[in-house]
Amino acid sequence: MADIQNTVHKVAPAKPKNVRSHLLIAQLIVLLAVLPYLANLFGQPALVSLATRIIILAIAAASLNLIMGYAGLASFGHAAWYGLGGYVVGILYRHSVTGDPLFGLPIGSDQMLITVPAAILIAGLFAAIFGSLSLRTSGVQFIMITLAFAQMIFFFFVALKAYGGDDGLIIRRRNALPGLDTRDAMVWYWICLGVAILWYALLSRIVASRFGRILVGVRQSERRMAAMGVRTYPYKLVAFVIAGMGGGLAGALMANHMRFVSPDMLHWTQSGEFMFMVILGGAGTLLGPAFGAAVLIGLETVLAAWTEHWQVILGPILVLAILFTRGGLSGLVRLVRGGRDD
Amino acid sequence: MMLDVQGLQAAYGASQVLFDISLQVGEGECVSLMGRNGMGKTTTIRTVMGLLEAKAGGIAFLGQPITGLAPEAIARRGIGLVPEGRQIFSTLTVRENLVATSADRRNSAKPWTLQRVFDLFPRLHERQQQWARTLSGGEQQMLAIGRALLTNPRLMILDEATEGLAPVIRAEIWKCLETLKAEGQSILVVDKNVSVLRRLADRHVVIEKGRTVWSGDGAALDRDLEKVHTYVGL
Repeated sequence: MADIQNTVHKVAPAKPKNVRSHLLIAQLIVLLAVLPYLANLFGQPALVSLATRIIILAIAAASLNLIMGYAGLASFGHAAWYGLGGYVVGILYRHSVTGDPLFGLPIGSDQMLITVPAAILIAGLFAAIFGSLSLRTSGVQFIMITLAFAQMIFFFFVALKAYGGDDGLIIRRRNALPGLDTRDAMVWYWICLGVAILWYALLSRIVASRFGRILVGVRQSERRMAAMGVRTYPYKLVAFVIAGMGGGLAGALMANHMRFVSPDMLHWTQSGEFMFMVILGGAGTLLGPAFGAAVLIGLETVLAAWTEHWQVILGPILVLAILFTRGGLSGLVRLVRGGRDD
Repeated sequence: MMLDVQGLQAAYGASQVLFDISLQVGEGECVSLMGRNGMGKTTTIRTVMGLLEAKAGGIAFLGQPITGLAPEAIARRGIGLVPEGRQIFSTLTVRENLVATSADRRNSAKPWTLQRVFDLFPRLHERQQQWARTLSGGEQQMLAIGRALLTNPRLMILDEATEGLAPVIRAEIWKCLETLKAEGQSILVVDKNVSVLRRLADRHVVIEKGRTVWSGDGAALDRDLEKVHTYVGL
């Protein structure tokens, strides 16, 4: 030990700041902020709506990534929170228009500052209830039970004729936000971008915290964490609820964006799409889900404009991308930059 | 008595591994658990930690039965484990490994802090931002010990802490255990190095085919050294 004990603390204890990464993120934000101008400049205004959709889906995918990528909990029911968020906006809008009471109360709103937090809370509440049960299982059982819960909610809304059933609900006007014209596509884009930046910043803080590091430890070995005295269940449940709230937030924004909500938002294929975004972009990386959402939706759009059999082309592209990019697109970016994985 | 194991039996499915294990660790005591490979040393530790269900027998910690408790509940009562094969969290940095599971559940007068661990293992201080998987075997072992210390355990269990390490690193680990013992830390150390354990431990327990076959203090070990060597396979 003598040689070690006598060694002075040569290396500075502070974590070296990854200036390059921060700079890259800042550049990305600037690029995204001016994107509507660029789209108009190049005569592609439809790009703004597409980019808004990608940004919203990136919020949902990043939320799933918290539990799937960091904690290793492959939830196949993430669309449930996404759809619930959408329906909260739709139902509140419907009641604000008709003036009908909801549960005997004069509830109804078309104000974004009410509907979006309500969507987040309701999605979080349901995630807490279903998560408390499903997190008692693991592995394939967990995947199946989350899928089953999500399908329960899907069929509930299919059967809910009061709110459109299979046909869904139309939201004639986007929710209002004081001082901003949400009907303007560019303004709406910037609102969604701002929300996404805040959500990603929050997730970044969560992941870097002790809580986030415990989630990473749980992914590697839950038993080992337990042997160190960590009760893993509350950590997993809180992460599950945060992910649910993120799904609800994305759903609320998407309902406003599309001005429509239907059980399709809750369907298992939507959950699968979120999982695909996470895996394609790089599970367990902060920006991976955003890359995944952008590439998946981008490819879908480009290929769908080219041929009606676009899935036949998209499928192999995605399989190859996942097979040959270790760690998804984020892994590919790291490889090109010569960096290390997180 | 801090840890009291009586007539412990355990099995992996239908294959019984422990038949009758008894051992005790007192406050501030260092006890060695010796035996050849495959005799049940690690299984004993796994059973004490609740990672394997006890079939029969009793385990008490600080006078309270802990048999059948979940691993986290046992660890939270004050048992810190340095598992066989280190088992550090490779996807976390050295610092994150230490901080993630740290706790001071007993409000110690002199709790283990990151700084104290870095003082004990300056190499960890130097490498605190490195991914744990990039550490050498010896450094990983130091990390595993530091991680266990940061849970401020009343009893520390080290399972084959020097296994597979270079002699110079082993010497560092043994020196570290001597330091901990001098500070009054209760230790149960599983190893096969009789000569070092003779010097380090206050009492010794030898197991053979899942049974405690010999136990005694340092003087008894000196008397029965040949017998113990036979059991340990040296």
